[in-house]
Amino acid sequence: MADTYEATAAPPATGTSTEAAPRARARRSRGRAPWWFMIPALILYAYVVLIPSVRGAGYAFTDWSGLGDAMSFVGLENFRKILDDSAATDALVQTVLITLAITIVQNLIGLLLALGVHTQIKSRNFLRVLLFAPAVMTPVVTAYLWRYMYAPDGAINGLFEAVGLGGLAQNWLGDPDIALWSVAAIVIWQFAGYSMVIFLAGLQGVPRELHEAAGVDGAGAFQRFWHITRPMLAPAITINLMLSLIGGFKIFDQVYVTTGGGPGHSTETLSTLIYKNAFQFDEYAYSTAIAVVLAVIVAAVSAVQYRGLQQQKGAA
Amino acid sequence: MKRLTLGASCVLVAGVALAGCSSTVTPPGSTGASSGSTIRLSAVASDKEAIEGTIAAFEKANPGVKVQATFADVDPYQSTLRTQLSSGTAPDVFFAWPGNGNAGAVEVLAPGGYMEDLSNRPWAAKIPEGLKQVTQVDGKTWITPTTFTGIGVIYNKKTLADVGGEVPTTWTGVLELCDAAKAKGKVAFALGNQTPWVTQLVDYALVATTVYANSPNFDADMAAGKATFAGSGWKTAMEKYLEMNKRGCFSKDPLGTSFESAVAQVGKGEAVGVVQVTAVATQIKEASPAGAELAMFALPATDNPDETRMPGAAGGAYAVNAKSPNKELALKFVDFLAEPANMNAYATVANAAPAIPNDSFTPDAAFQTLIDHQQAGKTATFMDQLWPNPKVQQVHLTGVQDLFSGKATPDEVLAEMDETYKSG
Amino acid sequence: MSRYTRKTLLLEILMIAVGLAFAFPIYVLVNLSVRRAGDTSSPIAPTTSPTLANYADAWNAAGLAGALGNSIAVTAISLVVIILVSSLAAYPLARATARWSRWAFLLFALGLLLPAQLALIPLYQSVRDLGLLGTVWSLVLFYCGLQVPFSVFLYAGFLRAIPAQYEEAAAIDGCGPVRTFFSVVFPLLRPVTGTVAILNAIFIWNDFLTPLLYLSGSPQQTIPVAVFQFVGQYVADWQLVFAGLVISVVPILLVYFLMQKRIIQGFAGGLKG
Repeated sequence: MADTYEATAAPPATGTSTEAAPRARARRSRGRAPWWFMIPALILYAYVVLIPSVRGAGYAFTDWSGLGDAMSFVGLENFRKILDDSAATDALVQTVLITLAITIVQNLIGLLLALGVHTQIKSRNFLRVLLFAPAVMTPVVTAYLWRYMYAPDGAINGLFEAVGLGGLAQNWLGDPDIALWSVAAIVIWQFAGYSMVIFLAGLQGVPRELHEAAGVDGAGAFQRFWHITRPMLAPAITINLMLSLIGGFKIFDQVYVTTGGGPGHSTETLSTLIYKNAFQFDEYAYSTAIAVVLAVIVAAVSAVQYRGLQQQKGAA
Repeated sequence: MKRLTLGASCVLVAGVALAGCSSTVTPPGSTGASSGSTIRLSAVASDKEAIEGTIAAFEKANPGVKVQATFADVDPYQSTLRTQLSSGTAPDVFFAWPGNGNAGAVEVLAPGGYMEDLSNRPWAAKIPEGLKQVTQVDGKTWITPTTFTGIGVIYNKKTLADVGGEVPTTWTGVLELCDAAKAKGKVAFALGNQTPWVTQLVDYALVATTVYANSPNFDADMAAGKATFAGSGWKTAMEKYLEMNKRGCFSKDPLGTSFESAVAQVGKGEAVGVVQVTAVATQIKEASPAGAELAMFALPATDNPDETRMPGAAGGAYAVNAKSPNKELALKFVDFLAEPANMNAYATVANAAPAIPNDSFTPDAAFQTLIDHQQAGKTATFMDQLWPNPKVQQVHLTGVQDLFSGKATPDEVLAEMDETYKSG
Repeated sequence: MSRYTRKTLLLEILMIAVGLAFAFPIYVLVNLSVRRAGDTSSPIAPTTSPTLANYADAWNAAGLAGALGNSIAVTAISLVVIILVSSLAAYPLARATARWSRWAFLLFALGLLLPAQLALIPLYQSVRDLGLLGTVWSLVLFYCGLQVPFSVFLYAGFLRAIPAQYEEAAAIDGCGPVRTFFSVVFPLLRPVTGTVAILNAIFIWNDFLTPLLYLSGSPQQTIPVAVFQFVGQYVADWQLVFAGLVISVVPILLVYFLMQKRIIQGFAGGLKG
């Protein structure tokens, strides 16, 4: 992988002649970025994702159990069933809650971390690695680790007691009122560094001179951020919000390993419910219907968010 | 210019790799299908050590034959197995659960035509009466049962002595043990109800007595619609389960305690024992100081010791893939597995008794109590093995968690179980 | 360049404190992984007599050596393909103003939304029909297709933020689109390529269910499958399990560590003009 990187890391072209720009604009329509560049990506994507997903979605209109040849068309029956299934509606509400918590907190922390290490501090390189380290681990691994840490006599409660805050000790995953937030905290811990890296990549695009000029003008740190940094970060913000929203809606590993959706159904999310129906309840077709609903919800939310950001960008 | 060469070489590398992405390249040396002298096998990770012993013996007895085994935890195992079965790519021999009530159980898998009929194998007739119900579907045998396991209290003898308690034979005795352990700053029973499958074990241990001591035909009555969970000893069992919790019999915060933590608590001597399946004794031993002596007793649920029953049932079992390209060898493997010496070896590693009893098996003294109960006809099969669909068990598991968090009452949980039972 | 002022020092202290808080769970992980069996002291107390025996045991028990080779091969080949096809695809998506490019972008974005469960069985059967089951190529194919939308999305997002003047200059110099892309656009994308590479590498390296399903029944394994097989088996032996987990994480962390300077440094130069 390092070799690959070596090969692609040619120095960027420099010394653009500014007088060339007007002439270039005239030639823009000459197919500078031909559409056929997309073909290899489209073929792979269609073969692995699009076509199988459409074929898979077909099961949602049948009564297939997941095994055997017995299958008949049942129309929208499975979708009607979702409305009557309190486990499904609860899971939807909990999925929305955990997604909101993750999207907001993870990105806020990620942004603060990025701003913190995008400075002259001596530990910046070290911190960039350290803060990103959790994101490198398999979610299943971190979930195991946190399950261990969240145990009633585990590391978290132990830490609280060690610093004299024993009163803050909780039954982190066993109390149905806080279990969902405990799971959200795992995701935030793991992926705040991930958001940070994307923000950092965006921050590199903000010329330091601009910051320094603003500093001389006496602009406050917040104003500098709002008027100079934030607009430049727009692509990073879009990507981060989109990724954490989608990741939140699809959250599976962290929930499944720590609580399995429990206690009761208090941390059940749409993905854990899909998994259980598909492989444990013998209700493959029904699980597919929930998956279709999940896809529609995520698409709708993403569309609204994308549109909102586009408009904001236009206004800025 | 250097830049361009670099770019070009990158394209070249990627082009080669892209060819790898297409279907035309045949990779060297590895194929998914079985060849003449190799069979594929898959099993749950908990049985890895036991079946690996069988595999080694089989390969030794049949030179040139190779068994390629894959292992996974229960959940990923079930999902991969079902995907493979429905796509015709399942291994030649695969682990399956006896009875019903589980997505990988014989009654769920056999009707799809995925399993080879094993009724005519030499060992099939020797399966004991009590296990026939859970190894047969439509009068035919589909799986080779390997172990007979039970649910009871696995405890450390030293910890029991430390708290000054003794093995209880009555319900009152159980509560006294709880008090004795509590007085010494320990708990009688570690309980890891955060892990869903653990939640059911205490219920099963109690239900064996509260339901089956007086109505041995409860399962038939349920199937005929003549009985309900809510109107049976199940309610007594759940109430006792909660009573034990209130009394301080269990670990602090059972819902926040995982299976692994519960095992560790017994290992460290913080808990006298744990209500578990016999196989877990291996893990408790690993977690205990060297030389720890473990034993087992049935969990009493009434004050009449004669009524005490133990849940006991076929543990793991193996099926032959009906579409196996190498059926002869696969059948040979399960026949080998069913031979007394091999089954005993498997059972010994899995901390259980052989599913097909034989005289040459000497049980670990610690588990004699399970064998005694079996021989006295005082066992009840694991309840979910006779339930009509996998959902009843799931409702039970989440129901117990709701009981412990105070979100539901036994009546509510049992009513939902009844409803789910009837739905399918 | 800014000076290292007192304010910077305060920030430094604050950030290090935050870093320590983030590192706490990792500390617990490593601390337990070097602990001897039977050491029952609190998980937060430093291990008094650390041992590396757990690592050796985990390495042997899980058969990690072979799995490591497979994981590296799958990750490296997939990355090369993903980077190439995604950056190519993102170029017209980010630059063309026609209506189709917008729709094409949304088509790719759709790939981010679809729950993996939908495609699971049909895709598995396609791969079976190609005869790739049990080989690492099935995984390469899977990751190439699955990660394209995400990578296109990242590339297109950053490409839009880069002014088109460099490519225009190249076009004027008589370069065709292919040469323009490889000599001008792709180098400009270097920092994003770093991001795409590391984020995809993490996903591919760590994926568990796909290799379990696609390599099942073959002697091939990847690191997570090897490690988790082992978690199921030694479930109460946390020291051993944690040592296995640490081994599985180190290679990818090392790659990020080696690459991160390039990712961060290369960018400013490319954008200043």
